[in-house]
Amino acid sequence: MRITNKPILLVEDDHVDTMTVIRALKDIRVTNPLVRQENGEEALNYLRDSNNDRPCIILLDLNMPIMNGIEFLQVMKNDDQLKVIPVIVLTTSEEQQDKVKSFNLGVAGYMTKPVDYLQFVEVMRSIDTYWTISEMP
Amino acid sequence: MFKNLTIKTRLTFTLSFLVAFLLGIETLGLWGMSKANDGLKTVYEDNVIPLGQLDHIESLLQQNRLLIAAALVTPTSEIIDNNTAILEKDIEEITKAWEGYMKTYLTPEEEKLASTFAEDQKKFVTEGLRPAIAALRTHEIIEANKIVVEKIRPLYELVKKDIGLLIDIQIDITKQEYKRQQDRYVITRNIFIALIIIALVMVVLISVAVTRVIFRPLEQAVKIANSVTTGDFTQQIDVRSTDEIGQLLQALKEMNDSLVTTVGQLRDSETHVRAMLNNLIEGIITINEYGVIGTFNATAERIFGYTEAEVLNKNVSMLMPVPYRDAHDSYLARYLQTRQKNIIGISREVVGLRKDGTIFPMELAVIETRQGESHIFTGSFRDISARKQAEEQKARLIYELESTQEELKSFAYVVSHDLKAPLRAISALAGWLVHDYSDKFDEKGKEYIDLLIKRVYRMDNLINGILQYSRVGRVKEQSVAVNLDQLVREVIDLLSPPANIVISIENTLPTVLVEPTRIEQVFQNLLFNAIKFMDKPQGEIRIACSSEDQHWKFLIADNGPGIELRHFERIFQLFQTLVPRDRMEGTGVGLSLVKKIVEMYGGKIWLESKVGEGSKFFFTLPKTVIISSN
Repeated sequence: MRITNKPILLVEDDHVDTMTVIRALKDIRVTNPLVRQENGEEALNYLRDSNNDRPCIILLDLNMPIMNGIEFLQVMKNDDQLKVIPVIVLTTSEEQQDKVKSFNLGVAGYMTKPVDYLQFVEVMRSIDTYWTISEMP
Repeated sequence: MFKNLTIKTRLTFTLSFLVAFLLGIETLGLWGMSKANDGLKTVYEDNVIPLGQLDHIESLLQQNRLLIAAALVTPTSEIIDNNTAILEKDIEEITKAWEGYMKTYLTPEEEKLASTFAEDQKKFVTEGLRPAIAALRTHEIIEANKIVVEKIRPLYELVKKDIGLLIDIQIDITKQEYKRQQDRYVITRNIFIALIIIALVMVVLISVAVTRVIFRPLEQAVKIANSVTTGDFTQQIDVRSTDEIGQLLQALKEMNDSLVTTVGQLRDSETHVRAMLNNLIEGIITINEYGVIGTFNATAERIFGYTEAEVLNKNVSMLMPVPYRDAHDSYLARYLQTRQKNIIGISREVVGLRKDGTIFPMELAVIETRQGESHIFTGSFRDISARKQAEEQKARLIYELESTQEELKSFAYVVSHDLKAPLRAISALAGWLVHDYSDKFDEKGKEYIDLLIKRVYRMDNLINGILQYSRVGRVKEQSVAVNLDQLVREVIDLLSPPANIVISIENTLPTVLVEPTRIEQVFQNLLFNAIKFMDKPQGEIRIACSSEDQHWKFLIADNGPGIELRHFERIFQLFQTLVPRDRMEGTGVGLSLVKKIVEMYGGKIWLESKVGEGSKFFFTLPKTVIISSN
């Protein structure tokens, strides 16, 4: 990541998926701290807490309990403070409507989680590469 | 023959006959009158005149004798001269009168008497009067007296007797003649009376005949016409003559026959209409402008449960439930005033009330016809309870289907996410085990982990297959014109077949209007299978397309292992594979997906194959989805 001191916010309910992300980030030597929240509501609470560092990027799962990814996006993108933070959807769903809804809510990217871990690492590497080159707000 | 003449001819004939007859009577009368006149003339000329002449002669004879006597009484020369002169003159006159008498018609008897008289007269003159006159003239009075006594007196008696007889006969004849004329008159009169009676009888007969010939048939015609008017078409009309009445009767008969035919046709037609009405699937009710029921067919009876007799002449509102029942009369009245149509001419759903009180939905169409001043409304309707139920059932089924579809959609979503998440976790964890603990695993352990990861991939493929399969027809893409020639080349590039397999496109493929992803899946799967199962060192795959009637026929042929005929059905079924998955990874989704897509576009898919020689997969796409072809 271009900005290394800001955290990456992972909104993910699955423990193994969280482990996968942490491991992949470690494999590709991303040093940013990773903050994990289990659902949309928790993520919003985290984001709205001024004590917390604002993340440089949000990795968002869609299918979560309590508040799912789409609902989270609908709240966040209506919040002037939060809507500038780039959100990358990281999901299992290849449903067209999920993609359409996500992009309508201004996501920066939509990635499907491959079953193969090595492929997953490549996905994470792409994200890192992109956000290393791309300017961030 | 007379019967065959027209009445006009007959009347003319009869009237002519009457006129001729009357003219005959007239002529006869005139003739009779002239005859009577002649008779009178005859009586006068033949009887009265002679009688007068005889009387004259008689009086002259008497005068002669008196003159002689007077001259004898006073024989002065003056008287003698005077009387003898008169005597001479009288004799002449007698002769003249006698000549006149003799000229008249005399019977033989008269002639006989006349000749006697003529002789006696002659004697009387020559022997009596002449000598007397001569004696007187010579004044020989004694001589004269002697002549008078001896000659004149007896001769005079004779002559007087003769003339008396003649007069008597003449009177007799006159009497007879008069009587004869009288008789003739009586006969003539009687003939006249008889003729008048005959004429009267004839008038009566002609009246009777005219009545018989004209009025009776006319009355009969009037009676027939009246009967026809009252609707009796069964009467026998006999045409007995060819005259005007006959023609009238013939015309009446033809009219009657024509009416019978027409009425028969009408009755047939009515019977037909009635039969039709009663056999219609639809109920038919007619009402007039007051809502009174005039027709109620068998289906209407069946639907409403009333018999025709129960509803005829009753108000149609009895077949409607409240509140429509109360509104109907005012609705009808308003329609007739404003002509504002609510139901007339269109079909709509309303509710009806059965005899048993149940309310049911019906579809009703009303048309309006006019019969003179009155309006007839004909309603045709059907009980749509069953249809309504069917519609409700259909709606329920559609709802169920939709919810099933919805479930399927969410099932696919669950599969794609909820099943894949743990799979991914298994995969990751297995991978980390191999990576992080490779020194802890022996060969056996490593083999198991390897198998585990392979099964994970297989399951991932299966899940992806299900997702792909379920997306066909569910997730709609925009159909666009796809140049298949270009698309197939791209698919081949993407598949990057090994060097020993040659894929050739035999002719230019058309451009069709489809969803690009779907048609790509079709070619991709068919070509992928051909490449994947190729068992020959020199693989040949051919792609061709031909135009048939309504569709394009595509061919993808290979020289691979071929497929046994008994598997032709199985290969298109979901998850069915012919090779064990351990030997050759496959989900069994590919051909089912192809079949589903082809059939979704209204095409067919089939194959021809010989084991060991290769397979030919054919599929069609209708041309109706085609924009243009190269």
